[in-house]
Amino acid sequence: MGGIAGAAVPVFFPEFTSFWVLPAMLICGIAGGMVWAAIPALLKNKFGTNEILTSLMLVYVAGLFLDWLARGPFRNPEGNNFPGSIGFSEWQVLPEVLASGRMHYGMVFALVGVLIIWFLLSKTIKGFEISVIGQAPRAGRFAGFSPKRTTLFVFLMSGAFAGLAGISEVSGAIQQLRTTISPGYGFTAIIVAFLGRLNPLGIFAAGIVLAPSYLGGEAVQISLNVTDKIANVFQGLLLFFVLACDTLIHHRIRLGHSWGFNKQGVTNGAD
Amino acid sequence: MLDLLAFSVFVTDMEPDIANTLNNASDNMLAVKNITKLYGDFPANQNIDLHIKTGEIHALLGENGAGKSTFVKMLYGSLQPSSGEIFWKGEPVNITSPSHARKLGIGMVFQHFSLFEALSVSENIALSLSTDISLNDVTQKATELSNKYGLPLNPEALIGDLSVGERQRVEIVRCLMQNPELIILDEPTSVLTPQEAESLFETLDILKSEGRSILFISHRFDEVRRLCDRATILRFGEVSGACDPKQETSASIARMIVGSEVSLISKKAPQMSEAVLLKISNLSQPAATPFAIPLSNISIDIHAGEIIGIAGVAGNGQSEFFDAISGEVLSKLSTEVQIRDENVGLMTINERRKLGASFVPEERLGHGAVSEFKLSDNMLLARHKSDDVAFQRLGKIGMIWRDMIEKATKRVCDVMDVRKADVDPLAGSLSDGNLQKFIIGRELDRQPSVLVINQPTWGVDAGAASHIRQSIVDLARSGSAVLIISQDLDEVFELSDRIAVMFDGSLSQSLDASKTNREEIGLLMAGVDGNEGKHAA
Repeated sequence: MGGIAGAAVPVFFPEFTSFWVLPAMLICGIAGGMVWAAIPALLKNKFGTNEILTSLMLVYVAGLFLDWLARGPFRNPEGNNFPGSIGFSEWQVLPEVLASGRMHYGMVFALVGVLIIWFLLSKTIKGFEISVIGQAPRAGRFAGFSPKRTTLFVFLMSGAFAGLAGISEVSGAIQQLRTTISPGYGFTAIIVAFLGRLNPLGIFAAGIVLAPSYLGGEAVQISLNVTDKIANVFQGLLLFFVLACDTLIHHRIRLGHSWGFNKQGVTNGAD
Repeated sequence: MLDLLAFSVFVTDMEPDIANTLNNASDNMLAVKNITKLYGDFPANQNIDLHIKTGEIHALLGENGAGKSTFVKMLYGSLQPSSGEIFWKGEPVNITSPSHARKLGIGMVFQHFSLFEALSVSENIALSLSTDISLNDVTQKATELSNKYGLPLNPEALIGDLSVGERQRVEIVRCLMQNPELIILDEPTSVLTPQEAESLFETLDILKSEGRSILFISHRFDEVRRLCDRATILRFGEVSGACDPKQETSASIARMIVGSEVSLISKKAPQMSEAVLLKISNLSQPAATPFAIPLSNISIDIHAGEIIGIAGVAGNGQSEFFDAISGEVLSKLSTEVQIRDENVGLMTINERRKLGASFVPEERLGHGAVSEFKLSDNMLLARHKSDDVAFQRLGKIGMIWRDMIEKATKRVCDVMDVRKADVDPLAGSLSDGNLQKFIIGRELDRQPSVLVINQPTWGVDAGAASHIRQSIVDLARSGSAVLIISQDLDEVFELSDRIAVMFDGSLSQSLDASKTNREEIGLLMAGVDGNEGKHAA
């Protein structure tokens, strides 16, 4: 959604080319992400819906909305009917860092974002509030924190960063709005988050570790003629093992008798 | 149909069977020899010897953290001893799991109930049994048991509608369904009215007369003396003494438990002042959930310098009342709660704290403290706003000032004698008594002018409890208004200057503590207004 909102700027104002167009795109991207993320937060606060389910479903809504836009209103009139918006001009593209080739400023945003979130979560009252509400809502109420406000805050914050990520990808890497701006980055992000042990700094490291699996998937497809979906399989396995590991550290599996009544007595009686 | 058949055969067959085994059993139903349980290097239980005779009620006494729970868990199979032996009817056994313990004939009723509120009594009982027994059979058998042992129950009633005493009966009936020969009861009377406790004792006497043995864990010495044939006392994980409780006085038992004379709290006469620091007027509130208790028309004044005790059986609206005073749930009218002459009914808990009020909720973990947080973080939990000048900096950003919080945490731990293994351990790693000392110390440290505590010493050992009670009295005598809500009548009488009773969401008139007695309060707790005559007069 961030990508869409940000891309709306160059699509509707192709003539708007100056230093200010990029910040405008980024802000629109952030705002788009926040608006979209506010929906599950409000649903949760108002009706007590499960935020995981609603936000997951909204992902598909957003995906289809993007599809419709790219084929419909946002389509490049000179694009030979291929879906996709007009290509962005120089001013509308997020520049590269240090003429590195492909690495654009999204990387810098990610780093800054990680630092901000780390500081927020571990050093401030607001971060304390978020972890209290997460761990023990009742204790949060005792501390005078509002679970609803915290939910909204966390969703807006996450939405803002997701929106920023979206517009960075669209503007920096793809430089055009397409139907396929994300090969499931959101889902990979879940794996990254768990792999980083839900710690902002850890997540940055996990992101770096997991990124090559996308590239590797393509390389494998080229050199070994296996589908690049194999990379998804590996990512899935990774998440599975990380979670299984946690479970096995905290719980012991025991095979044995069921909880229960004196079964022997019953069968003996029946005999 | 087959099920039904099998079940009825079982019911009739098992009784004589049990009687036989009981007759043939040696004198000791259970003997424990030299049992040690190590957690790392720390011995939670060390070289414990204990034997329970057939048909006796045996008391297990000790402070919290003395190793009672560890010991009982080993008997019930949820923990394995590091060394030592357990003999069941003379045979050495290795109790591998609770279901194994049940198969042997050991049943347990836990202090904290594990019942589903939305299910009926018989459904709850059926859940703990194997799946091949129909609900009708369970209902029939449960009714039989409840009649036989004087535990009146309606099998169709929802657990959510039952009082705590009735829920405990469900737990006991559920335990009896397994036809146990040894029944372990973990602080069964801590939630009962004196009358309910009395009827529980009658049930236990019937069980005993059938030749079953009971291991009875309690903090209340008078009960132990009334009920138990023998007592074993644990202290620091070791057996510190054994006695015939009927030959001892409460004071001599207490001495064995804490290892020294329990200091009775010193209570000066209240310096009554006219100033009302906490005033509740006509507080009413609908029930927020199907299982909550609506509050109706509660009024009470608490003056500077006095302690008011609210007695009552759990689940009569105490927690709803607490939430309304603390501001976790806002009232309808701002005048319903007044702190220091200010209408605070619509203020948040932190605004009330800023007026000098402090609150200690009933549940320690998950409400008063977060178990996965360090003590210093739990310090911040309750005081981040009332002490924002000390604990936060950088204005709006609200950066946490760790040094100051750690200093305050250390101060509280020193004053309250909080015993801990670490400088700043997780709240969940402290024993109940030490955690409660910390939570109360956290509030006392602010010198609040109004202090409201729900269950000040629930589940806390004698040593910690007397420390806590003394500090509450000291605070009141220094001019603060204190409201305690407690199910523990001893505590209410020990602390309070005036006593009121909460029943079914309303509050009785407050009675002068020196002019009332346990019977009068007990009747009010059971909902019988013994004062009708006096009210009219």
